[in-house]
Amino acid sequence: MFAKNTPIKIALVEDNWVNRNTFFQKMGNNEGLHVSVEASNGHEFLEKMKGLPLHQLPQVVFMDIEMPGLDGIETTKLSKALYPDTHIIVLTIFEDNDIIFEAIRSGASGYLLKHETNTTLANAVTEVLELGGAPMSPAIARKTLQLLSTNTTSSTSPHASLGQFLSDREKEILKHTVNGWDAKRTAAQLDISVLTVRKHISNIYLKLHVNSKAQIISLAHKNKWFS
Amino acid sequence: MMSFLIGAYLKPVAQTPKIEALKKMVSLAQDPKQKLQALFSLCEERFSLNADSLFTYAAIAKAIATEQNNQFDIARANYYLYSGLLRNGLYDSLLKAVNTDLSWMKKNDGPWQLLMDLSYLKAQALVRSNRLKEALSTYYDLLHQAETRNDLFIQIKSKTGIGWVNMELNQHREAITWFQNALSTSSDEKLYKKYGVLYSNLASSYNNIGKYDSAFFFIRKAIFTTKEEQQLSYLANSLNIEADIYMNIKNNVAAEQDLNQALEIRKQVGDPFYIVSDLTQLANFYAIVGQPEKGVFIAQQGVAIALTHNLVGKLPILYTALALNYKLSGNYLQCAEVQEKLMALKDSMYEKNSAESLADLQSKYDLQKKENTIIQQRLDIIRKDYLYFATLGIFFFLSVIAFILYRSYNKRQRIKMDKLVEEQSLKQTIAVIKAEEKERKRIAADLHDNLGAYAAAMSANVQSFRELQTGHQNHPITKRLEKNAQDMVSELANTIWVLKKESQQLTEISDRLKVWMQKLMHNYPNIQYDFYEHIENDVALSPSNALHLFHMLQECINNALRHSQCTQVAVYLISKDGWEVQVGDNGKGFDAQSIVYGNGLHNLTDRAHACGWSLAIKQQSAGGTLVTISSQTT
Repeated sequence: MFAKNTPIKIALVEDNWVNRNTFFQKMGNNEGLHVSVEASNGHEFLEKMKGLPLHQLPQVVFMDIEMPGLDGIETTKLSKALYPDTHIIVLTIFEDNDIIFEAIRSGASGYLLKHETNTTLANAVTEVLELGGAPMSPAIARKTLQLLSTNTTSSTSPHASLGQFLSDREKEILKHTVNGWDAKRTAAQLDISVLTVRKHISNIYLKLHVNSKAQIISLAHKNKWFS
Repeated sequence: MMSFLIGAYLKPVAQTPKIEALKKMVSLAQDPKQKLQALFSLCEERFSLNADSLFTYAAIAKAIATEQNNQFDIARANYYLYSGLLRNGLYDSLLKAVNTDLSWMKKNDGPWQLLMDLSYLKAQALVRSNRLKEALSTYYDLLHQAETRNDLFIQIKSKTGIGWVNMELNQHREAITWFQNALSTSSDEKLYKKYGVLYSNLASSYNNIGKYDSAFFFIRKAIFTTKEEQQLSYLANSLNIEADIYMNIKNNVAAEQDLNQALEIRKQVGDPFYIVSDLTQLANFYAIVGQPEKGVFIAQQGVAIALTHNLVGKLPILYTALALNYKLSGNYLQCAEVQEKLMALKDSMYEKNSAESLADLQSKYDLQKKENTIIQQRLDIIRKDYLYFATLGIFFFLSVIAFILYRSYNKRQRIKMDKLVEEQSLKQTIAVIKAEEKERKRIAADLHDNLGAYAAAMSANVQSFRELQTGHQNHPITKRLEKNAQDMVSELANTIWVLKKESQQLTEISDRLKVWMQKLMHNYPNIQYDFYEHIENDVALSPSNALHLFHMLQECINNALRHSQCTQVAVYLISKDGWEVQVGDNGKGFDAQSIVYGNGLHNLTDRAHACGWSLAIKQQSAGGTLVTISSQTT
């Protein structure tokens, strides 16, 4: 899957050591992936990231959501602000769609269940790097559409223009995603390629990312996370 | 004001026809002798003349008699002058003068009739001045002489006099005896017509012993007689006595009539002695009938007249009547003052005639003194009562106010307390809910952090083991181990999913089912699946019900995928007032009679029953099976 001479740098931010061991056990078999950063909480991750040269920064970070201190959501926000090219995939034992949606809004490119197979984890890395985001679940698509309908009725919302950002095709794809269709079926229905569907979903992810950059940069400066 | 009233009472309003006629005779008399006789006849009407007129006529008569130098005519003129003194209450002067004349008359063998008249006048003066023993002695002497001379009229008058003294001594039965004796003295009605006072005295005595029928009998005779004879004073006396009788039988209307009529006659005659007596009686009447204010006014008039005319003997009864009326009208202070005056009279009044009378007076005095003390004490009590009741009233008023304020305060406190209890209860309920939610989340977190992590680790280890190419990777046990591990992780995830929240929306269950199906359908690439949603009301289910529904739908879909040989599976979610979920396929359907109730179907039935839902499994007309789970029971 991955070229042996260019392993993809990944990071793991997980406070539970059992989960960390399980992850490493799964990733260990994949030669195309290299865990360049391992941290037990968000603060530790950002500290370690600060000390890394640019070329050693992880490309994909697997982020646990519920962590003590700086949780996954806040860490995602800060990481995306400080390291915009580093993709984040949140890890969770079960789908708490509210938290996952918040993580996506914070900058995550998708989510995975912790007990997913190593293949699924590796595929997620590929999708994120090549397509900009993991497949969107029906729940996240529904929330995106709900956010869209709320914002079109309120012009004072900071996301008032979001509805304008979503194209008709993007809205169509979201509706099919809500119905449980995967990218393949959606592509067949819309007479477009699967890649195009994935690209559209990636764009939707980007449009969902809301960053209050000033606030984040202020926090980063406060904690001296800028290298 | 009082002088005017006195004047009004004492000014004669009109004389009798007899008097008018006699006055004419006087004026028409030709000579002094004739004039003198006319004057004597006129003076003889002394009981209907006022005292001043009597004095005037008597004085003219004396002047003429003196001119005539007729000593007996002078004596007779004196007799009428002394009658005037009697009428004006000048008893001492009268007695002095009459004793002189009697002495001279006896010495000079004066006319027996005149001697008797003078003696009778003397006796009257003695009775009126309360010298009853002397009066009695005089009456007895008169009687003796009248019996000696067989003068029936004098006998009647003497016996009447003796009876009168007994009346004054409150010996009424003795008095009645004497009066009856007088009645039986003669059969000549003319004699009794001239002396109507006998009937009135007899009536008064019967009245005093409570024999009202006899009293009425005689008083009506007295009124008739004195009216006929134009004896105004005796008529007034009779009317007073009748009023007294009426009062004793509680006929106050008739009594008041008689009293006022008598007073009018007294005014006509102008005799202060009898006027005062009448006023006393009227004052007592008003006290009895509950008009003490009138009684006070009348008694005050009587006192004024008595004081003006030195009728000291009348003051005790007047003061008594006045004090009584003051007491009844609530003027205790004035009552006490009058009682003081009454006490002061005690020393100037004494009983000359009998020890009993003196003892009676003493006891009357003591009683009056005690009454005065009682009145004073009552006055003090009333004052204290006023203070007491005023204090009680204020206290009661304050108590009522305090009670109202207390109730209001209590009510407010109760409302406040109820509100506090309600708030407390609400807080407790919220606290319990929050505690339950916190506990639920804690359990979910523990499951997530501990059991979940180990389950995921175990699943990963089994997977790794399979990938080791040991030769056992396809062993059934290895496969079963991997599946069990995956199922465990999956079930754990489901448990944490429902534990994390208080409730799950229908759309959340639907979305979760979709994710599950997406993974499952990798095993069934030839089967198309679809989800259709018509959710107007995103119903919230409890965590346990959400899990039940999720598992029921998994069961239905698994059955369709494994057993129906379908190519399409569809899930319908409809929610409006209630909700309904259907899982349909286009498979071979089932034979209702031959359907095998395996564990799957039992689970469906048990879960539906546990949640109170309806479950229907139908064969579709176009083929295939439709399972309907509904929240509304049929």
